[in-house]
Amino acid sequence: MNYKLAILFPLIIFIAFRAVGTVQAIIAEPEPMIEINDIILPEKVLQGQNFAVNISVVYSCEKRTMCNMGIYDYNIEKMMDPKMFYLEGNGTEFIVLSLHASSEKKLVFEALLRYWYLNGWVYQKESLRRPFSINVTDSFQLALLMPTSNITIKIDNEEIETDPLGTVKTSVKPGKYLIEVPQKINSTNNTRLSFIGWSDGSKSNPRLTYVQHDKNLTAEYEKEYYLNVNSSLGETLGNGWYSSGSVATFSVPDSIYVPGILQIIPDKYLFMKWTEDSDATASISKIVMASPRTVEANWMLDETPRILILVSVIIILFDLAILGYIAKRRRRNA
Amino acid sequence: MPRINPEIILIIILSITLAPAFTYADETPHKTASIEQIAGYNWYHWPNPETDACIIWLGGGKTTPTYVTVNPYNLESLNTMRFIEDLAEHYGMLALSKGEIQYAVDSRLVSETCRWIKEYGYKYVFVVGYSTGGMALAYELTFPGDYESGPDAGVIMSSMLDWQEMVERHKTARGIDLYTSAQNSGRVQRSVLLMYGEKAWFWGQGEKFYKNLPEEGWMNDYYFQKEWRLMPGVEHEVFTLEDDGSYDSKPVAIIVNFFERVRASSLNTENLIQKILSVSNYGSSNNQQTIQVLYPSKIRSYRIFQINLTTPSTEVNPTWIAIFDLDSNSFQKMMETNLMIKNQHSINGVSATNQSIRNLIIALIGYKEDLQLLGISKTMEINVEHKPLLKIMTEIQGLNIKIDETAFQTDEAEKIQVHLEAGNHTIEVPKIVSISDVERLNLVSIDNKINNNSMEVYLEKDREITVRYQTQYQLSLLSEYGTISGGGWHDENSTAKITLDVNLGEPVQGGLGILEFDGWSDNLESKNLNHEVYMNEPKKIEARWTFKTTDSPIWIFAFASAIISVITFLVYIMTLRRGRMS
Repeated sequence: MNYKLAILFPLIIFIAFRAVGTVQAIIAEPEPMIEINDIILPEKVLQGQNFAVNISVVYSCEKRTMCNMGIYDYNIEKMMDPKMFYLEGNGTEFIVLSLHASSEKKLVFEALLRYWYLNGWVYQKESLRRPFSINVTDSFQLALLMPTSNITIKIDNEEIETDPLGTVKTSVKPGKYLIEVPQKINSTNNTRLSFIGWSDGSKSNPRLTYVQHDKNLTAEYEKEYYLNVNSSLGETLGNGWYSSGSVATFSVPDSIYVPGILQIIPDKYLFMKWTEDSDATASISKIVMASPRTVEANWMLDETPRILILVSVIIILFDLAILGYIAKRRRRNA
Repeated sequence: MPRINPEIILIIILSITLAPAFTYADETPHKTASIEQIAGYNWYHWPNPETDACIIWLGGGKTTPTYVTVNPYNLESLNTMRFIEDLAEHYGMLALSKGEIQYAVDSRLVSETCRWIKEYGYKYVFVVGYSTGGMALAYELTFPGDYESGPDAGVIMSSMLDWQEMVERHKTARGIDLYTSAQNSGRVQRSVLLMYGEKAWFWGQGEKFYKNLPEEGWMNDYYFQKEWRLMPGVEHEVFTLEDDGSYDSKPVAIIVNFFERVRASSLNTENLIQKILSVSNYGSSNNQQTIQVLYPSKIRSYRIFQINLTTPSTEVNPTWIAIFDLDSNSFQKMMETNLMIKNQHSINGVSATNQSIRNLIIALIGYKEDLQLLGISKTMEINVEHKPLLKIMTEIQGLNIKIDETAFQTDEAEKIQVHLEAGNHTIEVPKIVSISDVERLNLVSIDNKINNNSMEVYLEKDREITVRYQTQYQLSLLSEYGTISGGGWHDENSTAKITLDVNLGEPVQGGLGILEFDGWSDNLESKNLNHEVYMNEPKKIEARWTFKTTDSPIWIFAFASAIISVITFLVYIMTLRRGRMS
């Protein structure tokens, strides 16, 4: 029984003192609620690199409260970038602290927060400490996302093929890299993808990129459709690739002369209308390229030139006959 | 069913209740230290094998009419912990590990701790007292038990040393002398550095302590030095900047510089100083050998700099290599060495003054019956840069960048390095850098932010900013007919899309022909009015046109028949007239 009392007595005394202390605190002033909420940090850093860690602190403080935040670096056993700040009211405060990758090993840190309450720093709470670690690397991941699989891209002229998800992931040392992706990627005979730019706004291809941390770049492409302008006669205009949704202009001549049976009397054909993906009747027409398109020019034979030529020939023959008759009469009179 | 003992249940309940209190009662993480029991208290001891000096840290606490308290390390602010860690990089360090020191006028805590340090093996003992810890230190410096057992020097930071209000309120209290050290500082016989924040209302109390201190110089066999530092931009914690609450390492440099001066002060003899001055003024005499020195021509203020030196050989042992300041005629730093083992050395200095040029000299001193000057270096004139450095990195040589309306140009390494006053500055870079009529550079980002071409920078510490540009080429478009769009400036290696908007059936040349698109100058095969141009260089693209005449075969026949008809008609008329005449 005595040993039990020996354990219990100090515990009871401790609890009694804790309670008194708490009551005093409540009477004096309410204790603020200040906690580490979240830490935003890089997944990995280079040895020797300076980097920032963003720590959010949630708080509810009736009075202006002095706070102190720092990060303890277990590798070098040092307090990093300690900062004093003040909080009042309710909200979330973001504290950005600078760290240094001091070692080749995994960096082990602990974010420490303390606040001033009743003439002393409050720090012995779980919510005021947050351990975290960061991997130290000598290279970063450069990830390129392409719209399709099995595409060959170039990083500093080294060819790499995308995986089934259309991604290339490669480990690179920090520095400057030249990245090149195909300008066009053929899907079918009449559909293809055309490079338009990068997810970071660059339009260049190849392009330079600076790798100082893990980097993801998406090559952005737009769909292009082929417009096939067919005509049995004459020359067509407008064949080619068009961006999806763009308006394509295509045309054939209004009329066309085609050598007939007699080479000197050609057949004239008049454009009649477009068929297949367009029913326009003008020889110069437009079409919205919502899909691959094919248009066919339709022609009809124009008889007017034939009649004109026939009449002209008859007139000429008639004239020649008259002239022949006159010439014969003159010879007879002479 | 077995009966459960009520005491066991109580123990379990209590354990659960108390668990959180114990779980999170861990101490703040700190550098691995040994725990020493000194003067009835537990102290962290961070030894430093590279030094012969140890600091006692006395932190802040409470004030009472009869005593002041000193808090343990765990109750310091995180900024203070960093300050202690930084000092521990230069010296051994003692800081209270747990409990609370109650320092009364008869405590003699500093003396007792100093004695322990000397017994441990350190040659020098320094005390840094902050707030109430500084009050305890000031009192013990003012009323020492005996100087031999006291510290070799002390630093008092932000302490109330002439607290009249406290004196008025507690006139008869036993501890009132703790608050009035400034009135008695004339008794102090150990070197003192006082450091106060300009924004702390009571800094005048520290100044009073300083002003009442004795004059610098020899006191028996001790060379007394004093220093007063009123630190701008800080309040109570002189190492915490008031503006943003960040830690400032400048006080560490000041303290290290002060302690090193104290360590070297035993060399401040009239004899040595006169010899150094005469040699430095009139050149080397026969008795002294030359020390070869390699030193930086420019150093940053409040940072450690290194001087590499080669000493002449000597058989005198021990010897000291020392930095002598020709501006203050005193030794700044000394390092004991054995020149019989090696003669290549490095010695670190700190520039903790506001001077823009430091005139230093390296002296080699030996002991043979008395201190002897064995060798001396040439005078080292070292420029001191006090302002923070702004480094702007670009990839362009000769790029004009304005900093606070002053133009700077990037050097051959494509960067600008400029020291600027601490505070806000405006950096303005050109949006466009013209290379030729058809090639230019377009601003992409300043400091990795895509924004406009100017940026506000708050410069307090050194900072590096990267400015990036993108090469662009001009695409010139030309078409005699229609409207052509898509020209202008395009990023290098981008694909420009151009569109020609034209009425193709339009009659031209007075209706004699019909306009026909004949392709693009860079690709005559393409009869597409939408065209792509890859911009790997400046380009000029022209739309080509032809004309097609209309229905010509038909009209040849018509024309021929008309002509023949007219001829036939004329021949007929002429034949008729000739017939009448005959």
